[in-house]
Amino acid sequence: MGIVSLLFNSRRRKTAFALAKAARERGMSVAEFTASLSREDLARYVAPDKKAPKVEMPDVTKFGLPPDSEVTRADFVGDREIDEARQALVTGGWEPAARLLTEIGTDWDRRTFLVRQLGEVVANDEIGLERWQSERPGDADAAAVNVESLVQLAWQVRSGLRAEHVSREQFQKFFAILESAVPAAHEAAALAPEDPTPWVTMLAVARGRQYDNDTFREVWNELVARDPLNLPAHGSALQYWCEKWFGSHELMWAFAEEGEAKHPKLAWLPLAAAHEAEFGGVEGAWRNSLVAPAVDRLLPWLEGEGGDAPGTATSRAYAARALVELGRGEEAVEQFRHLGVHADANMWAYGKKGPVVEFRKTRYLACHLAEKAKSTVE
Amino acid sequence: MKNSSRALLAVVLLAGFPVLVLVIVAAIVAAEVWAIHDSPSIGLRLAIIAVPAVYVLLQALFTIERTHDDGGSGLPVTPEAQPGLWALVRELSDAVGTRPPDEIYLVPQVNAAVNEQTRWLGLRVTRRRLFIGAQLFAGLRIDQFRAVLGHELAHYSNRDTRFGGATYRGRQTIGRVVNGLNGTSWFGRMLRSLFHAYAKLYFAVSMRVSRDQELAADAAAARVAGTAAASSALREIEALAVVWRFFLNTYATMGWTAGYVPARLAEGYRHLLADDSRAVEIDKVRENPPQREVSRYDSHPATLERIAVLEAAPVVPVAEGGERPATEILHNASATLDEALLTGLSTEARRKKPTDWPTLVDAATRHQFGENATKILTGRSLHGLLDALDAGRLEDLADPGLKVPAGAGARARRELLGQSVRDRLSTVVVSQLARAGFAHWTLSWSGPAELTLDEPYAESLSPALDAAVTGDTAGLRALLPAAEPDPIRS
Repeated sequence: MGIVSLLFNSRRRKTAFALAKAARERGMSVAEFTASLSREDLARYVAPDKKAPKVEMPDVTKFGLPPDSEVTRADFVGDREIDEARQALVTGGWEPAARLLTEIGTDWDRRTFLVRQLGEVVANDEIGLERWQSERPGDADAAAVNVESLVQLAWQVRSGLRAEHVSREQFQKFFAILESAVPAAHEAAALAPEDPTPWVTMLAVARGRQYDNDTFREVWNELVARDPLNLPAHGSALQYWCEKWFGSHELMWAFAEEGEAKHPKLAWLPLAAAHEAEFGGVEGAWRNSLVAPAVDRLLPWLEGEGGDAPGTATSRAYAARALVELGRGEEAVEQFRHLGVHADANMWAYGKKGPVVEFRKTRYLACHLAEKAKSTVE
Repeated sequence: MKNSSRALLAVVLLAGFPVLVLVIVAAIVAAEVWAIHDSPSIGLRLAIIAVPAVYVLLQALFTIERTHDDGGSGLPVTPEAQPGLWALVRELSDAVGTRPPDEIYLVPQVNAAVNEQTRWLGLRVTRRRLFIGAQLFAGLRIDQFRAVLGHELAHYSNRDTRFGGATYRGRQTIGRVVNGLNGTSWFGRMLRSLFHAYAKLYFAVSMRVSRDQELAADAAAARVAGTAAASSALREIEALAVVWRFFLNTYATMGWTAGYVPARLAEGYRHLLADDSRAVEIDKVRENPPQREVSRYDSHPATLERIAVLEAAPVVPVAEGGERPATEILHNASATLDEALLTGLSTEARRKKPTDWPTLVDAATRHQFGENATKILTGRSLHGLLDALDAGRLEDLADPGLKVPAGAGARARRELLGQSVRDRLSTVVVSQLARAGFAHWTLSWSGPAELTLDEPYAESLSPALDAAVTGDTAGLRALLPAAEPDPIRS
């Protein structure tokens, strides 16, 4: 076994070579040399195992963060009312959803968020929506949920994988469903002319159906005419303007900068742009001059008015990532305290090793920076 | 170094080729004799290596000899049968300054070539043959055709480079030897790399010569046919090759499993070339000939480079009448080209039934549908599957290889399965309708065969399939032909 394992096991091979070299330097045979070593000395010649982490990780619980084992990628809906309406619809009960939508009225961000959650339920099973529509024909809220469910259904069919891993049947069905979403969106928009949510959904339809820049802007104009500050819509549009979809790094940054200037709740857009640029292969994406001012504009909003606004979890995730990049460990840790165990923001899923690993890695870095800053002060 | 002295060196290297082989053989034999004399046991061990080596070497030498006797293939054409073609070839031979070939063959290739039976490693010529691809007749204009033949014949004229012909032949011979030396033993591989090195040396010496020869042959082609004809012929041949491959894969072999081959290959190829909706694609190839990586052993510079050189030279106008199709040179062109292309068919293909295009397309597609339907049914009956659909069991009929993404919910899964079920159900039903004589396929040179359904199927099949996928199969059951063979066998 000795020689063969030397050939195929690089760790063993490295160890053997290191020992042989050391023995030669001392003019001893390998057997003599190893016999002369204590267990601890011998251990120093064993090549490090690549699978095991090389650095000691900081203990995140000391920073008031939940332990690694509890971190989860599962979707988490912090808004109790929304979560209850969602749960009810899963079992076919549409009334709580309808009631909450009426209650929410023109709080567009929250409405958009709720419609997304309901759309996801209906994408899995349309029974609740079918009852809703049969008991309230022509209901605008049900129509808005229907459009959203079609887009999410289409993406379930396509899967989020890169195009080469998507079969012909999947693409065929993906485009067919998205195509059917267009008249559905127009119907919903006609039923509630002031409602931005069908237009938020249409932004995703536009991206899926590969609208050119001008056609996309037409959809965007419809949206901002109804709600110029819609938070999920800005996130969706930023995706469209990414280089990987139908924009470029320049268009994406320009859109992020413009959005950030509108309202502090949109100040996470430049951070999302930096994140996209980083995964688009841009070196030093986080050093963009828009990043630090955006963080400083975003943090007070998250501390105050925006503390439990819809979409805050995503903003906090970007903020935590940006703060680590800026070397502001203690503030990053603070954002992680808010995030708790939830690695469900889409941005964590970009890394190859999955959201949980990405989340933990960023947490380690945050704690590490915080620790370093503390010891420097002491 | 001047090209003529380069060419002379190349000839010396070519003549040195068998000498190299004999020297190695002699060395091995000498070593063996010495070894046996010295120690029989070592001699025996050496023999284990030496005997196959000598065998491989002599075989290599034999390979050279074999290349002298390339058997003619394709359709031989006599001066009596094709006086027009022979007259043209003689005229062009005269114009480029070489003697006309002794034999002409029409071959099933998108290419033309002159080939010689030689002795003394290509130093003495006994018989010259001209091979002309039937595809060139089918796709070129007369002026382009003249350019192609002018180019090939010019390789054998010594007008441009002294020893040019010999170098050209030597290049082909050594190339074939290196490719022919495919011994699998380690010694064979070693020898191959040795000869490879020799060939590299030879090719390095003759590279400039051969590159210049190609360009000189192009210039000769331009002289006999006009610059525009010569450069457009280069583009056209690339396009013809692409279209021919497509034609073979898509049309010519369509009836293969059904047991048919097209009787009129050349006619089909010409229809495809002339199709309006294919023209855009073909034009693209003409504009941007495929950029193949030019191999070290390829005697031709890249097509675009050759075109650039041609277009940089003084323009020779194209003679009048050159725009007519090259088929006009041939007597009884259509039948002759069909016959020439048929010589390319394998013995297996010869056992299949030659059929006219419309019949072939209908029969081949019907057969394909039947086979697919059989695969889908896998011994089950259609009515049984419809029962499964009534019970909402889409997975019974969906493609078993269909992958439903991990994140897909029940509804997405149903959509995907439904799509697959509809496609497959349609195949099975259309196949049964075709068997009953209600479905036909029409040949199209622009795209896939077009399905025509008789009424009432044309009107009602599609909605019936939609309904069946959602679990309501009554409409589809009513449409099915009365006598369903059950289960289907093809």
